[in-house]
Amino acid sequence: MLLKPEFTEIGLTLLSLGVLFFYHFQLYQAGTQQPLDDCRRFDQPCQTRLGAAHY
Amino acid sequence: MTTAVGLTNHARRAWVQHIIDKKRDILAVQTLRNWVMASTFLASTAILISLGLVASAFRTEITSSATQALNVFGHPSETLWIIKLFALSSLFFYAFFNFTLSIRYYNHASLLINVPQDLEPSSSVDAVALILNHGALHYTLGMRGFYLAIPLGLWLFGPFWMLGGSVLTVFVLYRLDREV
Repeated sequence: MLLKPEFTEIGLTLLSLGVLFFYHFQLYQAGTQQPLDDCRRFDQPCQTRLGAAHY
Repeated sequence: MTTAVGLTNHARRAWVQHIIDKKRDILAVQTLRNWVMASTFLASTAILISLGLVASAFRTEITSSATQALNVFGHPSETLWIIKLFALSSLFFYAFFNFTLSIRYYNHASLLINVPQDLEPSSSVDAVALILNHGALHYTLGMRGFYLAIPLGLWLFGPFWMLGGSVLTVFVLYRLDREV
C-alpha cells in the first residue's frame, strides 16, 4: 500500500461526498437559473425559489 | 435546463387549477390519499431502518468479518464503524422527517383544495399549489435520502465501494432528474 489506510479512508470518503455534493449543488444551481425558454414554454413568470419553480 | 422537479411543479399547479375550476373534488381527495399512502409507507420504512441501525450500532461485536474482508483500501476501526452506522441512521431519520412533513402538507392541501375561495380567500389556486408543491418537495427530499443510502450503505464495506456507489448514484440521478 502506498498510503496509510487512514488516509485512504479519509481521502476516498471525502471524494465520494464531494461527488454527491457537487451534483446536488449544480442541480440547485439549475433550479435557480431559469432559461427564458422554459418560462415561455409554460407561460409562467420566472421565479427563482427552489421548489416554487425548479429548473 | 429542465429538471423533473420543475416540470412536475408546473403540472401540479395546472392540476390544482383544473380540479378547482371543474370541481373534481372526489378525484382530488383520492389522488391526495394515494400520495399520503406512499409517504406513510416510506416514512414507516425509514424510521424502522434508522432505529434498526441505531440498535446495531450499540452491538459492535456484530461487526461482520465479511465487510472487513471486502474493505481493501479502508481503515478497519470499530469507532469508524459506529460513525458509519450513525451517519446512515441520520440519513434515514432525515428521510423520515421529510416524509412526515410531506404528509402534513398533503393533508393540508386536501382540505384547502375543496374550500370555496369566496368563503376562504386563502384557498386560492396559487396557495393550494404552493402547499402541494411544498409537500412534493419534501417527498423528493425524503426519496433523495433513500437514494443516498446506497453510497452510505456501501461505505460500510469500505471507502472504495462508497466512491463507486456515489458515481453510480449520481449517474442514475442525473438521468432521473432530467426526465419525468
